[in-house]
Amino acid sequence: MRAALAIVKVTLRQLLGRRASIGLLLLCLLPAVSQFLVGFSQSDQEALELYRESTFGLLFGVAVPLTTVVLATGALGGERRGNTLGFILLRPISRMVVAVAKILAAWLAAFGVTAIGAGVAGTALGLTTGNWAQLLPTIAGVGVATLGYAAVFTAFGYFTDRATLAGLAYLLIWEGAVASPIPALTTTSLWRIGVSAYAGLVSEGRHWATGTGLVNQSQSQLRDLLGVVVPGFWGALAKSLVLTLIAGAVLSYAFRRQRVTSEV
Amino acid sequence: MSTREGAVFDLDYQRYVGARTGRGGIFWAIVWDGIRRAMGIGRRFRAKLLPWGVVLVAIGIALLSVTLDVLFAALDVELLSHSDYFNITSTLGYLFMATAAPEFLVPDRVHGVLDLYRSRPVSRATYLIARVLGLIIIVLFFSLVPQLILFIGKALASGNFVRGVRANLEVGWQVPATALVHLASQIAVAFPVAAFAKRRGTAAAMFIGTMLVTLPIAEGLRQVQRHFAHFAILQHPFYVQNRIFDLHLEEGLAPFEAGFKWWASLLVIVMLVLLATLLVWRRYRKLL
Amino acid sequence: MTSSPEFVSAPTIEVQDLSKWFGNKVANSGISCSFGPGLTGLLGPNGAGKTTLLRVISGILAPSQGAVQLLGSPPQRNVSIYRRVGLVPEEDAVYPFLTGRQFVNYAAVLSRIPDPEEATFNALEQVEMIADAHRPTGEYSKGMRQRVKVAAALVHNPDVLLLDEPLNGTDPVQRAHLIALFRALAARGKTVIVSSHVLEEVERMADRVIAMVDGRLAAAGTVSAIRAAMTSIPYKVRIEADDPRKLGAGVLGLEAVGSVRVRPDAIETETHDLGALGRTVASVAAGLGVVLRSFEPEDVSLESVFQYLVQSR
Repeated sequence: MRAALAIVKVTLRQLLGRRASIGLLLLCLLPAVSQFLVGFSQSDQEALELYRESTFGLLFGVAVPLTTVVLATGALGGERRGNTLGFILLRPISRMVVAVAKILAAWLAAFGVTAIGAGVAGTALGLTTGNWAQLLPTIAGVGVATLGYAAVFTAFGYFTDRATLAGLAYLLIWEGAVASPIPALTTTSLWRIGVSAYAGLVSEGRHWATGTGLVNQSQSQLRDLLGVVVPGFWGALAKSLVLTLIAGAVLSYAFRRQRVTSEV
Repeated sequence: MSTREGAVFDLDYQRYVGARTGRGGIFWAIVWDGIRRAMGIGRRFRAKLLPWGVVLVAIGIALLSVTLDVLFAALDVELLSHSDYFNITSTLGYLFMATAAPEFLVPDRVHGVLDLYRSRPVSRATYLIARVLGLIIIVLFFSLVPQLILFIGKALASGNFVRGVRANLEVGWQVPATALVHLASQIAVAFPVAAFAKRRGTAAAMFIGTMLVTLPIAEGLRQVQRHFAHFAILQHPFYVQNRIFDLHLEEGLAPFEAGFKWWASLLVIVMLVLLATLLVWRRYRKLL
Repeated sequence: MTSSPEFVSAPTIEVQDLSKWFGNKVANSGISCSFGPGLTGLLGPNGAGKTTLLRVISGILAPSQGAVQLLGSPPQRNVSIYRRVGLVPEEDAVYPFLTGRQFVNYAAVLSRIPDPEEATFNALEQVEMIADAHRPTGEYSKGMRQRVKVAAALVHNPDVLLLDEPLNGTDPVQRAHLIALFRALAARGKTVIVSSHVLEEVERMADRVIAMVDGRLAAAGTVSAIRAAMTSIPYKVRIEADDPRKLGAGVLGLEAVGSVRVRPDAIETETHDLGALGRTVASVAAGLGVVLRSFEPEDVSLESVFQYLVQSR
């Protein structure tokens, strides 16, 4: 346990102690900035609608995946580039423990950065409209989304040194152009895991804002976005956890079988 | 070493007696080095996959449009105009720029190779201009080759190739001009990001994040009459593209309704390019 | 098997017909040898395959063919053996944002040491890095990074220590200290393998040498035993005397002597039988009334042996 925690701690320092993490934080704060500047001069319903658009479009669609891809690919990719992977693996620690510790560190780093953005955006909405019901579902949705992305892209970062670019290609081409227009493919979309977690929490009735027109419009937008994916926090969390276990198992196997130097 | 009685000559070291290419040779060597690196030329398949994959997808879209135009020529319906092509492939363009731009600046800095340039007659200006020129060449290649395919296809679909070419001659300046405007608006973000990032992947992600996020944020700000938001919206090349292709799509576009003209967008883009130049120049002041 | 010099009795590391290739490049080819307690020098020119061999032994790389047993089991199959193995890699494998103390402490924690802080202090003290342990390793010189890497490899008191070019970047004082440290560890019964290009230091450190050329085992054993095994190459011997010309004329007739070259203060001879020459030259000198000052084989050094091995490929 102590060894796993040490790996998490050092990896967090490795990922977050850089100029890039400030840039990523700014990216995650932009929706919140917009919410602050715009929300004060709009009606409650318009402010909520703006929140929905910027949350889905910018936070879940851009800031969360980009931030997590950059940080997660660095969790193991950075060790390979720095020739320190052997330092960790030539230790009496189970390979699965190393893999899960790395994924956990990547998730904590990504969630830490994106949750700040989500929290500030939700707080902005609360301060401008008195509607605090979006805050926790947004943060929870971001948490589940970053876990799914972290699992997949931590593993990617081990297998290729172009993992970040591959992740960007996945986001722009698969998520943006392939999975979105084809409802049946929405189940393969990592993005929709986070959205379905958020949607599952906000569609429990008590979290909706007042204004039936807005509620109906937002519900129908959510359904269109999710495609065949059913909204639900626990289902989304289960998916992310399964992805984590699969990624951990794959990495654990790869550590036992493959090279751990930067020579390829 | 020599004495009065004799001398020993070191035959191993010989002065170079071949052609010297001069500063022009240095400049073009740096340009070509950047192009090779960004496109994976002379490197393994994995290095070629992303840049050439994106180029092939872009060409594929053009080929598909051309094929459908030719097959359904009798219907006289144009699937994709030259202007539409820029709009449809904008995301691909972002991906290509995100893949290519960091290759020109990040590796030299991160691998400590800039000292090699410093020990040669290479000035900061020579290095940076050569790098940006290499990037411009490959981005124009990405933009113009599919457009050329579209142009030829439309001429074929018209039934009379020569007449088809003559009818669309103005595309000969419209497409390169629009490509340059798109290029300028993207380089203004991609190059400074690449100048500061320590990893190519981070630079790529920051570029794409900036491009995807600024416009919606600006749109949101504009809704509350924040006039400065118009400048963020005007950095999008669409407004100049609209003028170049004479599309008259001003109605409903917020900056035009607010009284801005197309040249305001061009001015914003030029100012962004100048700002980017200043940032990169200052960044490399200590490095080169 | 243990009668051959490339094998030892009671080995801790056994390499059986090991080959390792990367695409078309063969780094190790058909290597069979073993290592046991004591200090073994691993020698070879650049590209000989030394680093690859150490990586395969440690388990960082899997063999393409053949087998390796490290402390009785294949490496990486049983991660618990890493409690007893330490590796100092050639490359700069440190975290630049961690201080020296944090880096060694990290190694101690990962090795599941009960008291990592105390072990960290002891390891840093062994390599004389206490004074600079508070600074980030990114600020260290090359020699300091090497020492902190050695400390990280020693912190859990391993039985097997694999060192790939550990003396790179160290100054002469640090080098002498580290050599003394490695010899002390070997004397305590640990299996220490040192790969190095610095032949003089390996000659000082190692009881036994494994030489590699072009990915293959070229020689094994003590330096003098390897030299003696090179029967096709005559020994060069320098004999200082007060009358070299007279001595040279006298030894020229000896069967053990192949050639003689007369210098102002000595003769240089070539012989296939060093022992016979050594036994007879004294009596020849006495008979001629020549005073001998020294008798020195010039190419029993590791450098000469190494050069012969490389040239003969």
